[in-house]
Amino acid sequence: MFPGTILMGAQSRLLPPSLPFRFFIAAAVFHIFVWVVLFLGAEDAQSFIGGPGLPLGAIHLLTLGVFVMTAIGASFQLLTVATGAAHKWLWACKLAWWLYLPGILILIHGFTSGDHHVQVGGAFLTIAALVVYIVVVGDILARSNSLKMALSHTWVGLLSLIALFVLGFLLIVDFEHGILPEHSAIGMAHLILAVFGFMGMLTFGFSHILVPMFALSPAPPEKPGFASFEISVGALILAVVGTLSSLAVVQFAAIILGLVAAGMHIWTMNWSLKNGMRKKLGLSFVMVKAGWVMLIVTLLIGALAVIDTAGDNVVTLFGFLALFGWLLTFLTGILQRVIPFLASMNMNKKGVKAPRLSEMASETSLKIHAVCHGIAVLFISLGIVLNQTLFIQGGAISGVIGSIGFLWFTLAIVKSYRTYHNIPEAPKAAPSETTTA
Amino acid sequence: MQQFDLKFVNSLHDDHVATLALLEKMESTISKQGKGNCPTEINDEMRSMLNDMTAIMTAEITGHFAFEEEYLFPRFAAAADNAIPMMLKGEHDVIRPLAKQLTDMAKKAKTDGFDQQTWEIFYDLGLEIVEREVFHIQKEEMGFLPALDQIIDPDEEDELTMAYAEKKSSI
Repeated sequence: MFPGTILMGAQSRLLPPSLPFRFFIAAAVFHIFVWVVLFLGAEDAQSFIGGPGLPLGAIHLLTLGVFVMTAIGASFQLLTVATGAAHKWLWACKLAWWLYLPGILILIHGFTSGDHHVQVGGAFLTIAALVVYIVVVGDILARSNSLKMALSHTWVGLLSLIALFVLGFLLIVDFEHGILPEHSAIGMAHLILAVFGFMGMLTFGFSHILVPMFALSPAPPEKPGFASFEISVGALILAVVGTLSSLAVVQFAAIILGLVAAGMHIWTMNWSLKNGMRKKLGLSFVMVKAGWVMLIVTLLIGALAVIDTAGDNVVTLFGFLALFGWLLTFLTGILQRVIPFLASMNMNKKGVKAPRLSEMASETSLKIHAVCHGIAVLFISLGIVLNQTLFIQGGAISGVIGSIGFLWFTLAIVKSYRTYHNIPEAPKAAPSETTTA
Repeated sequence: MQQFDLKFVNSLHDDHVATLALLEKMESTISKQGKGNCPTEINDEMRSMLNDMTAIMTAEITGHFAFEEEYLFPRFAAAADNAIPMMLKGEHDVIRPLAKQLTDMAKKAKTDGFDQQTWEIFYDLGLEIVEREVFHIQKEEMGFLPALDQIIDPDEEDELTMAYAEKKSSI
């Protein structure tokens, strides 16, 4: 059986397209600024482990501007369609947007400028938006009894989100007032909760819906899927406890469990790809698979960081690979399937032929993105390892070019959608008289 | 592998599997040839693809589509949601003339071969139908078929299985 009767009544549960799309377009725009700010802060980035400045701004442009922005848009749309539980409060989704966008702009400005009051103001708005998001998504999850795998991951993701914004706020207060005993340990716990807790759980959970859907495969076997989930929760708890207590043995155990969980997750996803009816999944799944490889590489680098044998910048490399190597690669791979798919689900008018997916946007922009993104990850990793600012700057320039390619693709889809809806509906057009948008 | 509870739903799923295999084969064969490179002769690989395409596409747009439109869409609309059958019917209406034109061209090409002009038309139509059919099947497999398993009264299973067999045998 497929993972949920995704389309049954889906039309009536599709949100107004402007709602999820505003989050996806904003993420594509923030994506460019991530690389720009990383370029500007390249000198400090190679050994960055925390503190206000351009690298912190770049990281939060990525985590809040790209990752969480995408997660909010995808959760609002995907969960309601996949679970069959309709939104109770559409206004709350809009409210989350209007709190979140200014909130993160102010917060990131605070991080780059070092202005404490701006940071606090931005944090309040951002946390308010995330609370609205948690309530909306929590309500959908509470009313759903299908898709247990995706739901379980999402619940843990939401709990991690609460923990991470509480720690994040404490870190901001600590910048000014020095209240925390171990700022760097709490900063690392905040990063772990963000990367492996919130985003990691959501990407693992949503993959159980999206990968079978795109590969046209049955849902992967539940046993290894649930085992992977349980082990990953154990790994997450150990990682946070180990980091806060500075116990290397606990951190190491967390990484071993993380590797096992990641391996099992990748195995279940590959099971779907192998048993899927659609074998040619294109460039997007090259990115998705590259993301999976980078997840394993990230954890191995994490192990080196814990046993402390790989030079000074290994912690920075671990953070960079987790954020840019694994999550950003995976997310842009999935998004390039989700955005046109969602647009075309909303292009359904009598007598007006919907454009093909390939007509909606050129694949050239995605190829440019993929190549430039790969170069950026490679160069910046080398820059961190070799302490070479020039490598980081070169990688960031490549990242800027790639992210412009990705925005070009996203805007082309939006343009195609608008063009289609500008064509008047033809009530009784024969198939031969249909028009392509 | 039996994915669904109802026999005719599994048959529809099996049709999708066969159609997708054909579409991937077609995509590979014509992409490998290239749009500007008209085949000078119909080699074994091309002939096999043309034969499969004629058989499977004809079955798809006559038996499969007709069965869904006549028996399943009305039941789905009554039990759940009219928007989905309308959307799927709209896609049938787009795919049907494309598939008809493509199969006519394939039958002619098996005896006369392609010239540059007909090959370019065949190439474009082929890639268009691959995209449209894959997306259409994706929608049916994601929601329509699983929903049928829940909507259709098991007492109707034999009748619908029979009706589907008749539609297929009338091709």
